[in-house]
Amino acid sequence: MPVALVTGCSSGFGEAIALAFAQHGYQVVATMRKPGSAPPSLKSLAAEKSAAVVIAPLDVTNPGMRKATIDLAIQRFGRIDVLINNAGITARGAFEDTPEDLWRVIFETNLFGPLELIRLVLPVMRQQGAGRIINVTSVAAVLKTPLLAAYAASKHALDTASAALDIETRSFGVRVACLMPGPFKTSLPQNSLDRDASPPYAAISKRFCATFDAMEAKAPED
Amino acid sequence: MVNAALAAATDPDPATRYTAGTEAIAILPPILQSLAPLQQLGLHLTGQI
Repeated sequence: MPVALVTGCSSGFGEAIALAFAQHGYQVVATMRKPGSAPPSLKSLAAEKSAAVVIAPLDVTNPGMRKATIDLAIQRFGRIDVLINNAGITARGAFEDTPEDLWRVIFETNLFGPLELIRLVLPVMRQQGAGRIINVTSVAAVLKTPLLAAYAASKHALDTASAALDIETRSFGVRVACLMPGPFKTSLPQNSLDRDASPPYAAISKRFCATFDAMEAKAPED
Repeated sequence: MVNAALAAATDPDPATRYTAGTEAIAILPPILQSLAPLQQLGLHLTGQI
């Protein structure tokens, strides 16, 4: 059975993807920052198929946890066929209202965490002679969305790195692709580290948020 | 999104990008199509085509 490692499985895309891969015959390592608050669907599946599904703690910004997660997957299943870098965060706000430390937090989770997981998994996949790395980006990666500059820039960077990596690694049998979702009903907006708009940006921010919130959004499992 | 993830994992020659839930964004397809030649350039630069 192939093995998939999925990050950000506490809800939304990660939960839906982990469940789908398990239903399609994959052994799954479903990771999240707090496994104690794993969704009931994944808890049930892990209990029912304990030999094939494992829930593991992973904060993608933590180097020790990244290494431990890759080690766990290898020890448990012997290989990693698919890495799905899904964990991500966002923050709505004007550039002037978004401080440097928040930009860095967003880039740590959306770019550097996924890249360092890739760095750990690539030797495994090269040795296997096969592997698939799937990075969840966003339409914001190419649409240059206003009031989401840090998020869009982080996803644009991940998109660019993915496209370059796909060329570097394909001779080893390792391919890299991006999933680029549009508007979906996930917990990303609820968990967004939004900044209140300062007076100069209040009008465009209000209009943007209203437009954004009115978009028709699908469910993650769609 | 789930179907896109499964396709990205299993397509013999995967696409660089898989979209999901983007049907209403009419300007997206031509933007993505315009990026496709860049992969060919990368393959050419590395002697893979």
